[in-house]
Amino acid sequence: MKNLLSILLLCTGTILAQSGQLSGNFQSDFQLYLEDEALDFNLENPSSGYPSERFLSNGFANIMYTKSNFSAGVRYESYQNALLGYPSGYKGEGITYRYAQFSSNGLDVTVGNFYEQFGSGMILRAYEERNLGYDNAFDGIRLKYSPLKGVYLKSLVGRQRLFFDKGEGLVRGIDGEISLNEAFVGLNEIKTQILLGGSFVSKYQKDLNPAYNLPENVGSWASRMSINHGRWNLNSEYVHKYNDPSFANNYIYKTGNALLMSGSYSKRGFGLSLAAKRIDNMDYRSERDQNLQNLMINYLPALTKQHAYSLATIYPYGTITTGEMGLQAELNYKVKKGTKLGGKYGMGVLANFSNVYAIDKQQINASTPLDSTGTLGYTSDFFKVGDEKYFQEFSIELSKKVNKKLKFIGTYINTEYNSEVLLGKEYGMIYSDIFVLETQYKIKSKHSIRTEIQHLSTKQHEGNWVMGLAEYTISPHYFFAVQNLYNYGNTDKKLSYPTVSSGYNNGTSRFALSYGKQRAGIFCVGGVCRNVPASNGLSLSITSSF
Amino acid sequence: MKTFKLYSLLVVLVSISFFSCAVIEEPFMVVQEEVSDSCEAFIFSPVETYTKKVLLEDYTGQACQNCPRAAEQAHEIQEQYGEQVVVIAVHAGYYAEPTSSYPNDFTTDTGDAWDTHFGNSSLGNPNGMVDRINYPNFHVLQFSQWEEKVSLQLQTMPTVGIQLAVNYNPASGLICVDTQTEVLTSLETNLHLTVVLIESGIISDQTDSSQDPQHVVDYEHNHVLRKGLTNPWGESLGQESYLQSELFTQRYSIEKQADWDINNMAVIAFVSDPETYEVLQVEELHLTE
Amino acid sequence: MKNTLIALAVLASSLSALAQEKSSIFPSVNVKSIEGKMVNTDTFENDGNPIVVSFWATWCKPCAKELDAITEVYDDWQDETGVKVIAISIDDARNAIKVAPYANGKDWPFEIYLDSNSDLKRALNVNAIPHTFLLNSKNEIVWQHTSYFDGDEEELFEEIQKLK
Repeated sequence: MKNLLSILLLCTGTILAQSGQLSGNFQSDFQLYLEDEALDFNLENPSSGYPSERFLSNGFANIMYTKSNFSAGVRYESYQNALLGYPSGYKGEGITYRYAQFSSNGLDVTVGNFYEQFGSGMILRAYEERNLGYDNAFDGIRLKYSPLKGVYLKSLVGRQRLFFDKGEGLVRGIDGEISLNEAFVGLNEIKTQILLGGSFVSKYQKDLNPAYNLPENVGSWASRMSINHGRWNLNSEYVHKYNDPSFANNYIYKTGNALLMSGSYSKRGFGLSLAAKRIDNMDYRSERDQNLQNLMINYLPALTKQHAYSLATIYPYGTITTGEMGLQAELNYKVKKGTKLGGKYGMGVLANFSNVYAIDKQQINASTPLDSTGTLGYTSDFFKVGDEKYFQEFSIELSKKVNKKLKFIGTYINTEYNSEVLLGKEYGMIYSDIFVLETQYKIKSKHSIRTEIQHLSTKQHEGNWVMGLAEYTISPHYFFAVQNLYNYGNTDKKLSYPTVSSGYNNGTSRFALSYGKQRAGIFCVGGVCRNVPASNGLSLSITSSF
Repeated sequence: MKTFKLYSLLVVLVSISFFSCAVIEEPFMVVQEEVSDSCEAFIFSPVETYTKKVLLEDYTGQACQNCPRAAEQAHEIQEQYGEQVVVIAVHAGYYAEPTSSYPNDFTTDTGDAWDTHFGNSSLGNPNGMVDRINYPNFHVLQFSQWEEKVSLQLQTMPTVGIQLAVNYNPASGLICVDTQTEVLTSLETNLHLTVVLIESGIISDQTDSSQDPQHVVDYEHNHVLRKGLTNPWGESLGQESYLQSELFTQRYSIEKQADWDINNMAVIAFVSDPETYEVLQVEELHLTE
Repeated sequence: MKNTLIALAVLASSLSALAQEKSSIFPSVNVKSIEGKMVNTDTFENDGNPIVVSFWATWCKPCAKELDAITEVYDDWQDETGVKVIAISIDDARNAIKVAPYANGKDWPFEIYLDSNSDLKRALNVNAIPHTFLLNSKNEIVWQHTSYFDGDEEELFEEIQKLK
């Protein structure tokens, strides 16, 4: 079947190549791993993860053909074998994505593989994040139709991707959204824009469990609203899931729900946003016994700030899908130029606060412990905050252009990180303070040098870190960088992770070569923790699009 | 354009360095441990019928906070199916590494080889396998799936039967294991026999997320894989195909290690297909009665 | 397997013939405006003047640097060429609420749209961001570039000027 569609594409491509257009992209990552005494990364130590192949590579290519209302595409992926850190299910090579899409008279039909999101994605979201190896694309049929102006309907049926195979669960969903201003003539011109939406999703998986009566069809519904009035924005979405005993929730029959509410105010030079979220038993997969990032139907966003600075990624937060609640507030402000603080060019201020707590969980009766398999699990007071704090962070970033040649960005981040829940290890609550100073200096036209100095101080876990980076860029083609992370505060082993890298850019093609060591990392999702070992190697990355 | 060509030349040169090779030095053969052959011969009597037994492997670690849940599940399955389910707890991977707070080392060469090949710890602990079915893509199972797969495997007819005999000499410390494998129906595959020793009732540290504090010092570890008597992938029974009623006998011996408690140990032997890795039959026998 | 490889090989050779010749038309995909309205990209227009479409996200630092750099010279660019910059954010539900405050807090004068599930990004075969496209008066892609180094906006402006 796969071959048939590919041959169809071949014929379509050659015959119609003159009238339609062909486009695509390509990426390939190669890594040669080198044994390292200091990191204990070698063949003799099996748990070090040193690959006996020594050389690993990932690659993919997308090719797409479009002609007026029709488009079709294919993606070939190869993991021979997958780079360290990638989910180990990626083994082998083949066509993992193929589709045909056409639209006629307002009806948009897609057959084959597709990505889709309903509302915020908390009820259904199929998406790809190639660099993390995340891909839960559907294979099936999707229809989109707009019967009236301002009304948008979507429906889909399909099975989800699991590496080079598919999950056995069937997923179906419908989503409707109405933009009141566009649908009702009387509301066309008013300043307040209102959008309402609703979805219904259900998944089917056969019950082969000898011990329990499991629901074969698990349904969920969602309703959302978005109001915009000039500078103000208010969004909210509520999702409700019916009983879904699964590995992630220890096979309890409790219903699940999620609420995401956010509001913002912004005008030129100033922006403020506030968001609050509560998740209760919302792990929703097309197969009950999957874990980690496999076969997730929905997407539960973490409301914490996503950081780019390397020391700030040592303690990352990931949503606890079985239950959490928290909020985030962010302030964006540009201090005007000409003022004392603003200087000649103004100063940017970005302050962010977020926290996450456990939800309230009470036993269903005196004799049944919390989360007991085969029971309703627990009861939870919606508005009560649980006792355990999972995460808290405050950060402030100031960016200032001093003169035509020099810019500074100074950042401070204070984090509280619950290591038992987030790392699966008992280091207690990890308190850390991070300082970052980034400078950009323009040496002459097209030549620029960027430096970063970062410092993380903590009394727990691995202790203090210091990091330095210098990057020299020659616009528009070249970059050259050296960096080192040094865990000097570690009482056990003081390891350093130096890296040297360089790259060449030309239009849409990019080559990057780097040599050095990479830090280890732990990922915990749904009660299962996996460790990505530290590594040392030479890597080459090539990407292009046409 | 010129710089582009120079750069791509550099890239090509560097890429060539990627094609690394390993030069192996002597000795070329994998050296087996010396086996002292002072075991008495054992004569097996014929068996009328064999029942299918299922191998349940639990990949675990002392620092893995949810692993006690998996161990409890393996225990419940054994309570339900009795001798028909044979459990091996394989300590391997990052969460099994000895550290200052968890100083014991329950890892083994055999367990490490299995874990590296099947990828269990790389998928996050706890997890396991039932008869190693559905290799190469779906052999690793969450503990919530074990019972379903065990009951499915128990419904299959046995194609191989295994008998075990054990002799332990306390004076010399020598453990002798005799195995007899009987083919029950003609098979067109090669067969490998793997023999290991396990120990239960080991009191040691374990992280348990359901306890407060999580570090439990007197946790009882059961079915812990201690030593392989064959190499990790077993020994071939010698043929590419087998006929009904063919019998194969093997003998293994090993000296008891100081930290082993003989009274809590058992020998486990299983026959598997070396290509699909599927376990066709397993048998367990305690070292002492 | 062999069939698919042959298919891909032929497709690849047809493309190399094509890729040199025609400029490709900007695809028609639905994105959302800051107010939440569904907008189709085929309504992007600028009175026949060039359009720059740039992909960014609140967590992408080089993207912010590129858009900040363009902000500084935007008035001059518009006076000379009438160019319009449209900035498409690929932020998903984790950061979508922060998009408008972030863009406004940085005082960006661009039209902002949200492509939360990367539909437009996928239709344009964008791999990594920042990725910037230049469209001519017929909404055809005449130039595109990925990544940003300090000073790259000068090359973008040279390309915009070529369209006059």
